[in-house]
Amino acid sequence: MVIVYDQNFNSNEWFLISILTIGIILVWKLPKRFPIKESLVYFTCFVFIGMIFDHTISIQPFDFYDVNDKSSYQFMDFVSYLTYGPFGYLFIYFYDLFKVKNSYNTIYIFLWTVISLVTEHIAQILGVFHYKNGYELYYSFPIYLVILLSQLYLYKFLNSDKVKERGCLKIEIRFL
Amino acid sequence: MALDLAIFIFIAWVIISVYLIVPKRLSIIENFLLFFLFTIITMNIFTMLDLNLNLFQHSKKVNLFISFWIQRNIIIPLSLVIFVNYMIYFKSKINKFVVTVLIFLNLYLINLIAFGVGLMTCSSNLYLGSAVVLAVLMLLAFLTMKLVTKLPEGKSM
Repeated sequence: MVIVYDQNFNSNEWFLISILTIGIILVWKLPKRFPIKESLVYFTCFVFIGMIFDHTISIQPFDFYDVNDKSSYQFMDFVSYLTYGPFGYLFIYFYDLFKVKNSYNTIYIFLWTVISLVTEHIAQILGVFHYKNGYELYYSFPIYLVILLSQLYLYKFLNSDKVKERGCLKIEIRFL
Repeated sequence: MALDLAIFIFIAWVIISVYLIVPKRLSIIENFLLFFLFTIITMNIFTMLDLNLNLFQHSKKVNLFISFWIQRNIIIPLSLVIFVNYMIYFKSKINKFVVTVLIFLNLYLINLIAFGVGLMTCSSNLYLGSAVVLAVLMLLAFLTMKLVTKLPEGKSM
């Protein structure tokens, strides 16, 4: 049975559109640091991991929350996943920009986890997330740690000497 | 542990092993990007067919759901990555056709196993419909690969 929380185009939709627009403008306007494909990997990776978690714990048998106006899958749900993209890109961008040392990785990830939790809390107040079955905001804390750690590991992996030696950016393909 | 979960973990292990040994003409970054995109596409299509259109329903039992999760997030996207790598590797159209058919049959067989053990349920006349879904996924995978490989190499974004 589909649960309807709201029928109007209001705070949750405007919040998602604003966040996505600001995120994309930031990604677009900041000085370039990575090749386009590598940038797309960081952008897509966060959408990918966020979606994996959401499409796992927000559906049966767990069903811990619903996203946006209805419990069924809507276009704005997809937009909400797209908002993760700029977030993931900026996480890596500033890591690379500030050349964060390994000894500060924990603090860096913790800071971004706090930012993620604050954003999620605002989103929940504005009606993007509707918690169910006893789910609380702080349950998301370990999830963000895992997501950010995975993202950082991916960055380290793609920038490791071994991968670079294999010519990860080579592309010479003949089509059909 | 249920047998179905063991079966799907084994299938995933085989697919990962195959992926590791297939000749890859795409770079590591492109392989990552395509895997992420294929998973996102597969998840969206499955969720729409399940939650919105009610064409099939995934199991509500935890062990069956984990098997479903493995199929949706590992087996299908990784098979599609293998498919696009072979599409670039083979030059002859016959080889490409044979690989396409083999990967499609492999995915369809896994889909039938998924229906057989109860990971997903649907009315009997929709088993063929699932073949159409897999064909659409393979087509989208091919088009996405073409798009990704045509992206410029320079710094951007």
